Formats: sequence, structure tokens, C-alpha cells
Amino acid sequence: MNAASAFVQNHFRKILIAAVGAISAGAWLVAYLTQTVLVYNDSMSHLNISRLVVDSIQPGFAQLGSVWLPLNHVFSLPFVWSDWAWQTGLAGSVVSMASFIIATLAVYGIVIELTGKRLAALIGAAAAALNVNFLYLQATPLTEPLYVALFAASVYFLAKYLRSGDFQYLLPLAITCFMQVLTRYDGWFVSAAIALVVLVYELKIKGQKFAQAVGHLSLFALPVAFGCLLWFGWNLVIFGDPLYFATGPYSAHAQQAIIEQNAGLVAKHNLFAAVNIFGYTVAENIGWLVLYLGLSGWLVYLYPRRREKLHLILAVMTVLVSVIIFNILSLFLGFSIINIPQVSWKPFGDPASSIFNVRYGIMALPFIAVGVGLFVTRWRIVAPIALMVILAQAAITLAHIPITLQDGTVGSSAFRSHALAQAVRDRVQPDDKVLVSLTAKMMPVTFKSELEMRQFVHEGATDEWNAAVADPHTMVDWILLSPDDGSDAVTNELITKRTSEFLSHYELAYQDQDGRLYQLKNPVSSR
Amino acid sequence: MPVASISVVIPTLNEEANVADLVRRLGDALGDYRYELIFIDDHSSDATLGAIQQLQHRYPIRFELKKGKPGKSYSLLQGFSIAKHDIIVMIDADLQYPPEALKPMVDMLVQDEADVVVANRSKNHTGAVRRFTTRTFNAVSGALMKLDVDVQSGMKVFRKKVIRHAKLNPKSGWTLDLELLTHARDAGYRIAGYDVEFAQRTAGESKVKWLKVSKDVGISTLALRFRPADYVPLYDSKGERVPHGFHYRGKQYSTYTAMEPQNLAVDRTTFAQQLFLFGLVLFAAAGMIIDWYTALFTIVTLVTLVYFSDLLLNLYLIARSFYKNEEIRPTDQQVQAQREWPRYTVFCPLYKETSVVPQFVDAMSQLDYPKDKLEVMLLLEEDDTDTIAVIRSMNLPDFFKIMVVPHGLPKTKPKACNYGLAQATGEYSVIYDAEDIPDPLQLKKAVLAFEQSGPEIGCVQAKLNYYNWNQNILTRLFTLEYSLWFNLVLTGLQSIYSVIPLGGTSNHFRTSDLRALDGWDPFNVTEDADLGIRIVKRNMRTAILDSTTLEEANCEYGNWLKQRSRWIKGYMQTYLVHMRRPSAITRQRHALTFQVIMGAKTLVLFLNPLLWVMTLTYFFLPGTREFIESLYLTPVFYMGTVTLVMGNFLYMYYYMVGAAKQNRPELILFALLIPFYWLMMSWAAFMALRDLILRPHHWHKTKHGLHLKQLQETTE
Repeated sequence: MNAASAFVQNHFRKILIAAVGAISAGAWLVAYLTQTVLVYNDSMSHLNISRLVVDSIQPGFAQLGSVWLPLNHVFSLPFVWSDWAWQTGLAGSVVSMASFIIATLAVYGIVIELTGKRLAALIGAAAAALNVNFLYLQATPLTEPLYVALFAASVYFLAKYLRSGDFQYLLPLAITCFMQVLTRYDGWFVSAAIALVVLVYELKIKGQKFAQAVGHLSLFALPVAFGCLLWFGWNLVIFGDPLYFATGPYSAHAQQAIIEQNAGLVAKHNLFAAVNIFGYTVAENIGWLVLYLGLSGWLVYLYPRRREKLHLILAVMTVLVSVIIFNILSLFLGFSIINIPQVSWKPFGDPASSIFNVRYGIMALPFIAVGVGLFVTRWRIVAPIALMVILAQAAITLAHIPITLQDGTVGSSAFRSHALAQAVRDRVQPDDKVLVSLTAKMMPVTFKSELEMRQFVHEGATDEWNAAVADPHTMVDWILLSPDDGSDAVTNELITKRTSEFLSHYELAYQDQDGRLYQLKNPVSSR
Repeated sequence: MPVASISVVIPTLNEEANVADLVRRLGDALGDYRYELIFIDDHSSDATLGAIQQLQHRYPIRFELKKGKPGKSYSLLQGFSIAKHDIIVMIDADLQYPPEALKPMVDMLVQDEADVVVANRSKNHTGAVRRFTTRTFNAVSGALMKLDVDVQSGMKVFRKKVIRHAKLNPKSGWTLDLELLTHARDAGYRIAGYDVEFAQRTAGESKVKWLKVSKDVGISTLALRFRPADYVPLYDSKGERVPHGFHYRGKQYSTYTAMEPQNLAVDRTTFAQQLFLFGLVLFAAAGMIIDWYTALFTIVTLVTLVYFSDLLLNLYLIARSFYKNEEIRPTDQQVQAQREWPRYTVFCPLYKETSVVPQFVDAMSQLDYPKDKLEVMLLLEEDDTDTIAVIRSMNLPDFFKIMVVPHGLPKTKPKACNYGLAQATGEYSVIYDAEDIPDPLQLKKAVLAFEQSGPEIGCVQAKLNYYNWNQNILTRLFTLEYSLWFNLVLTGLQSIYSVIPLGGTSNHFRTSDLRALDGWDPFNVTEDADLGIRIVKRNMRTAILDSTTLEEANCEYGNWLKQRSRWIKGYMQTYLVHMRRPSAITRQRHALTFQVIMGAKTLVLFLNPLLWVMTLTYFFLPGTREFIESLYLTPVFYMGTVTLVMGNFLYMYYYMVGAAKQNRPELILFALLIPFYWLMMSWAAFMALRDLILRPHHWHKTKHGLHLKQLQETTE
């Protein structure tokens, strides 16, 4: 062994982390230079939710959460204090980038646990780390990278637990699942799947008595259930309803209801459509070449030999697939919506609306990347070929613009209200106050206006909000609203119910198709 | 009746008119005895001196002029110092006390009814003012000093040994009496009264200046009341000092340790500590009176910070116990090796627990250790005749040694262990309780642990758990607690080289170390915890051994409460003992962990109920929310919320992890009942506080063998 290989051997983990970190940083730099870090509406909304904790008319942790689970926002908190990190999006990207590194290492770890082969694990990790869609998403403040990291990490600890039978691995498994259920609702389903796997393993493989199996299961399940309870409790304390996140006006359910009313939900109660849509979404995120490679990996690894640790492989596969099942079920039950061009469904007749939420397909990445690693396990010789396939796929994806970037630039997820944000930025002075309902549409406008968040009077500042809605002219200089948005509370309260009273104090300062900005007529005398 | 020898000390000042009559009457009264009359004259200006000299050829009179400060007290001390005989009489020369009463008073000593006899002025023929003053003083001194005799009486009879080692240091000419009696009482001497008639003075003038005497005696009374009581060494009949024993506040103690009494938990608190605590309460009360809201706000903030810090510390310790587990784990190969094993002494203190003895004998016989190198000391109490008889009737193997600890105070397990330690022959020593079933390989593992460690390891603590863990809910919760403590917390503490309160049994020592540490504090009801602290004070530490001793978990709630209240009381004792000289512990790097483990962990048991009430109030009485929230600064409120929500869950979860680590997954779900256990712990804490105040040395004996009883009932 020469000195170089000895060095690599001794510092393998550090080198791996450094390499993945370098890829991550490089991808962020590209996104930053091409100004694509913050093209998603949701990216800006996530950053703003964090920012409101420290910069709000009523700062504090109560600003966290309503529909979105809060963990991503909590992790952004240490960075979002900085105006620069907030406005560039780095405050959120840092979390995504760290998640990217963890996810890649977790894929590596899962393959090691399943096969014990380092080369296979490296190829699996490469399939994850060189996925262009994942690389783009990890440059943004979106929650998917964090979720993928926690999901993959939980599968890694599950694999360690199943391989060793040592209860100690249930603790990090519980922690990662606790964090999952506070990151995305996918985590609730995945955690249930893991719980089932743990119980079956305890009873059937370890041969524990029921009480013992339930005991070990509790070690995993109670922290996860506690995470869910925290969320119910939070909704109860902040919104007065433990199910507010599911039934409130900004919930996915409410959004889907509006879409369903206007255009219908093509996958709702149509399993074929749901599978078809999510299948295409996965393929577009992963890339067809790598997708086939990954699926082949699972097939060739499982077939035809009887494996000693078949339970381990099947359990890991079940959990890796569970997140895919969750997304299909969500589409089938009408809880979520994905639009993808291949299905040629344009709910609002707008070409842009043929791409929406396609990033959900990235959830399948750990399953496919592990499959790629398994493929190499079977035939070491194909390792270079697999690597070339991965690189080729990356090149193809780049050449066609990754679908997740398309969604953020031309799809339904893209921020388009630049003019409205510009109008707000140009007119509102640093000491002015603006009444706004922080809807999915208006939240990014407030971000792009580059004003301090404490200038906005919004629903999260209950006392000020109630006072401002009752007598806006005594509280705010400006009113920003979206007249076409049924979820806009300012529109509902002032335009729909009290138009004349409202217009006696305010005049329209700007309007376009995205919203209106009203200005107080006589600021000096009336305030 | 043996003939008594008496020295009568008579202080005089201008008593020429009374001396002759006094001497004559004394001669008549003491004619049956050998006696001497010692006159100490305080430089009389009349013919007292001549009167005494005239009598010297007829009576055994010795005479000295007063040296040093004027005053009756000093005259008496001078007289005592030259007294030749074993019984000393002090009597005023004014003939107000009847010398005839001395004979019965002396007889009380001769018949061993008392060590000090005081002439009580039951019939007082003096003026009303003097009568009133005397009665008032006796009432006050009786209440304050717990002396029910006529303290200022000028006639007393006592054995010379009462003052032989006393450091009497009266502050004025009239304050010796109280000091003498207080000392006698503290030294364990019996004080009795004898009623006499107190006559009017018929000749000479009284030297008593009432105002000054009252002031001097009053100040002296208060000073004596609040000064620390003396630890009076024990002396045998030959006047030789008895090692490892002392008198304190009238009781005789045998400790069998060379530790200075001042370092033992004989007293709850020192005077300085009492002042500090009083000051603290006063400060808080003043704060509440002056600005109750700010005071409450400050208290809430401090309490929240303590809880939040504890949450973080525990999280850190638990995490460390996983990735920095420093349990000593000798390999099977090492344990099974053919080699010469050193001699090992096992201490097993037993008191009224015959039912578990067969089980213990069996457990000791099962020890995988060469029996010729084993010395199992059964430490029995002299008054526990039943146990002694049962054990003597058993056919014990040769390596058992029956040791009967002489009857005496304090009657505690650590005292018995000290007694055993003095005679232990093992190179290593360990303590097991009578109901213990140790891992058979534990002694070998402990030897290997010491051999593999340096001299800095002063104790190797084996882990404890329960064999009757599934007897009922209580034993399950108790097992959860032990599993958490020994599997996670202790290993975490060990990893940061913290103070470790030892766990009662299965503590292994090099016997030489144990002797260097002077054994155990016989007054501390958790002597193990105290020893753990003393170990770190000696720059040594405790290591955890991967070997478990199974014990009997308390299965009865009342029994559990008593045992737990004793433990908590012991922790409080230990904390107070080691805070007598805070600098001794704060200089150590373990100062913080000492404060947290011994101080804060006990404190929170008292605070928990208050916080539970506050939390319930917050949630169920919405009207109080605004006020409660206003008591918290925003960051403190967040800390409080995190501690309430995450903290409570995490603490519960730690118990679950502890159970899993103990390989008792069946118990994991029972951790959900732990809040009720915390409630019981707080209840026990208040019992402990009551006991600490009312009966600090009382040892709530834990009943053992209850599992056997239930087993027997089940079998029947």
C-alpha cells in the first residue's frame, strides 16, 4: 500500500465528507450565480417563516408553523438573523446542503450495511450526490433535502438495528424519525412503516415475547408519537385547534379543495393516474437511466439466490419504498397534487400549470441510489459502467434543464409577482406599516420587497392584526392584498365586507394581476 | 458502701463571721468520709483569713489566696484544680445552703444515682426579688438549656472526672455554674437535684450585684445555648482516652472511625450554616415583603435556569454514557485465568433480618472465588439476640466470620462496617447487604479492575438491580430507576470523572484505601454517598464495573417511602457535611457536579410539586395565565417550556432506555407511570426533611425478605 492509498484508507470518511461537501458547495455556487436559489415561492416562504421569529412585529417562536412542519425553519434560525443570509437564501440553503451531505453518507451507509462492499456503497452514494435535481434542491431553502436526509438516515439506523439486533440503534432511529415527523408529513407514514418493521422483526426474527417486542417498539415509537403530539399541541396552543394544520384555511386540504373546485384533481380516486403521475415524477427527478439501473440493482440483488439476511434487505426496501407509496396515496386520496408535463394535464389551461410540485419525486432517490449500489455489488466489474451511467444521466438532465428548476422558473411553483414586490419596495418607507395576509402568494412578495418583516402586520401578530383589521387607518399606512385569492384574509375582511369604509381611508397605489397595494390617504391627520 | 473521699471547695470574700460555723457544720456533715476543705479567698479585707487559719489545726483545711481575676467562678476553678479527692463539693461560705444536705447528696454519687447533684433551693427564705430572679432564671435556663435543676445553686456535688477534661472558661465571676452543668450534660454525665432550704444570710454581706449578675448570666446562657456543642472524648475508669468514641449533647457514641467528630454528620448544620440559611430565608422574606413581584420573578428565573441546566446536563451525561462508556469490563479469559487471587473481605451488616440469611449464605457460597481467600464478616448487633442465635445455630461454612458489634450509639450500618474494617484481613473489601445476590464472578472482576487501574481508582462500584423486578408496579418502577441510574447516569458521571455517590452495596475497595479514608461516617444514613464524596476529595475516583448485584426491590409503598426518605435525608446530610467548609469542595474540579448531584437533585424534589401545581394552574385556570407568563422573561419562558415539554418527555425516555440497557424491555412501557413515582419521591423528600430536623440519626430500617414472604404465600 503506497502512502496515498494509506492516507485515503485512514481518512476515508473525512475525504468522503469533504468530497460530497465540495459537490454541494459547487452546486450552490452555480445556483447562486445563476440566481436560481430563490425562484420557488415556497423557498421564500420558508425563509420568511424563520425570519419572522426574529424579525416581526411580534417576534418569537409562536411565528413558527401553521401548515408547514417547523423543523426546517428551526434549523434555519441560527442563520436567518443575518439580513444577507436571509435575502440570498443561504440561511435555508445551509440546512439543505448539510442535509445533502447527510443523505449521501446515509445512502453509502445503507449499502454498506446491506452488502459490506465499499465500492458498491460509493457508487450508490454517487448516484445520490450526482443527481442534478437533488443538487439543485440542496441549493435552495426547500424542505425536501432535509427530509430526504432524515429519511435516508433513519433507514441507515434501521439497517444497523436489524443487522445487529442492538436496541441502541433504535435511539438514533427514533431521533431521525422524530425529526422526520416534524419536517414533512411523509415522515408520519414512513415512521408507521418503520414501526411495523420493528415489531415484525422483534417478534419473528428475534423471537421476543409480545411484551418485550412492544417494549422495544415503544423505544422507537414513543418519541415519534411525541413529535406528532407536539405538533398537535402546538396547533392547539397557537391556533386553538389541534388539527388546524390539516383543516385550516392554508392547509393542503383547503388548497386541494380550491383546485378541485376549479379544475378537478386528476389523480384523486384514480390509482392508475396517481401511480402514473408519481412514476413520471420520480423518473424526471432521478433520470431514466439511473432509475432503470437502480431498479435493476434491487432485482438482481434479490433474485435468484436465497440470502441469509433476506429480512434485512426486504425491511430496508419496504421502508425505502414506503415514502413512494405515501406520495401515491396522497395523490390518490386528493391530499396533494403533482402536475407533470408527461401527463399533459393543465388544470388552469396555462402551460405553466403543467409543472407543479414535481420535486416530490426526489423522495425516491434513496431507494434508487441504494439500488444502484446493489447492482454493483452483484458484479463489481460494472462499477465503472454504473458510474458512467450516473454521469451520463447528470449530463442529460443538465442539458434539458432539471425538472425541479423548471418548476421553479416556469412551473406553477415559480415566483412571478416581481412587479408587485417592486411596487411595494419602491413605495413603502422604512417606518411604514403594511397590513398583509401572509398567504402562499403574498409571503414571497413580502420577501422580495426586501422590507424588514417587522413592517408587516400579519395574522401571526394576533393583537396588532385584530386591531389593524378592525381599524386599519389607525394602524397601517399600506394594505397589500390579492383580490382573487379566496384565502387572503385582508381581501375577505376589507374588500369583500367593508369596501366603502375601507376606501374612505385608503386609495389604490398600485395593482396588477398578482395583487393590489393601497395607501393611506391622509397619513398625518389620521394616525 | 465504699468510703468516699471528698474535696470541698469554698470560695470566700469577707466571710469572717460565717467561716467557723461553716467549717464546724461541714465537719459534722462529712464526718463519715475522708475529706478536705479548700478555701480560696478572694483577698478579703476582713479577718476571714485569720478565722480559717485558726481552724486549720482541727480540720483538714487547705487554704490559698486567689490568683488571677476576681470573682467566685475563678475561685472555684482554682479550688477544683488543687482538689485531691474524687468527689468535689462546692459550697458558698455564707451558710445560706445547709451543709447537712451534703451527706445525702454525696450518697447519691456514692450509690451511683448521679454524677452531679445540685442543691435545689426548693424552700427559699430570701427576699421576693431574689426568689423571683432565681425562679425566672431557672425557668429560662430550663427551657433554653434543657436543665431541670437549680443552675445557679451555690452548692453542688460532682465527680472530679466531670471536670477533668473540661475546658471551663467562665466569662464572668458568676457564670461557671451553667457552663459546668452544660459541659457535664454534653459529656453524658447524669445530673440530679436535691431539695434544700435556702436560708436568709445571718452574717456578713451579700456580694451579689443583681443587675450585673443577671446581665452576665443572661449573656452567658445565650452564648452557651448557641455555641456549638463540644465533642467530649471518652475516658475509661483509669482516665485513659477511649479511641473512636465521644460524648455529644449528653449521649455517648462509639464510631470505630478515626474521623474527627467535626467531620461527621453528628450535627445537621454548623452555626455558620444556620446563619446562612437563616439569612437566605430572611432575604427571601424581605424581598417578598418589599417587592413581592420582583422577588417572585427572580425566584422563577433562577428555578427555571436550574431546571434547564439540569436538562442539558442529563442529556449530555446520557449521550456520553453511550459513546464514552468507561465501564470496566474484564474479559472472560482474565476472569477464568488460573492464578493466585488476593484475600477478600466481605462485610455484611445484619440487623433483624434472619429471613434472608439463608439466601445470603447461598449467594456467598456461589461466589466463584477461592474460599480460602474469602472472609465473609456477618456484622451483627449485640442487642439483636434473635439474629445472633439463628446465625450461631446455622452450620456456616468456614469462610464466614460472626462479629458482634458492641451495643451503643449510633446503631447504624456504617458503624458496623467500621467495626468490621478494623479487623478485616482482606487485601480487598466489599459490602453486601444481606438480601444481595452478587454476580458470582464479581470479586474476581473487581480484583482485575483494580489491577488494571491506577491508584486513582479508590472504589469500584458494581451495578445494582433487582431480582423481584416484576413483583408489582412499585418494583417495576424501582427497577426502572435503578436501571437508569446504573446503566446511564453513573456511567455518564464516571466519564466526566464526577462526584459519584456510591450505591450502598457492592462497593469494592482496596482495604488500605478504605482505612486511609477512615471508613464510613457512622452518623450518615447514606454513608455510601458520603464516602463517594470523600473519595474525590482525596483525588481518587470511582469506576463502574460491568457486573451486577441483584437486590430485593422494595415492594411495599410504606416501606419504600421510609427507605427513600432515609436516602434523601442522607443526601441532605452529606451535602451539609461537605458544605461545612465549602472551600474544600469548591477548590475541587468536581465542585459543579457535587452541587448538581448532591444539591440540585435533592432541591428539585422539593420544587417539583410547586412547579406541578403552577403548571396545572396555568392550564386549568386560564385566568392565571397572563400573570404566570408575566413572571418569565421571554428567553426564560422558552427555557421553561422546553424543560416542561421536552424535559419531562426526555426524563421518561431515559428510564425506557435504561430498562432496555438492562435487558428488561418488558418494563419500558411502565416508564409512562414514572411521573407518579416522582410524586412519591417528592413526598419522601418532605418526610426526609422532617426527619432531618426531628431525628437526624434515625435509621429507617428497610424490611427485607418481603419477596420471600410473597413467594411463600404463592407457593402455599
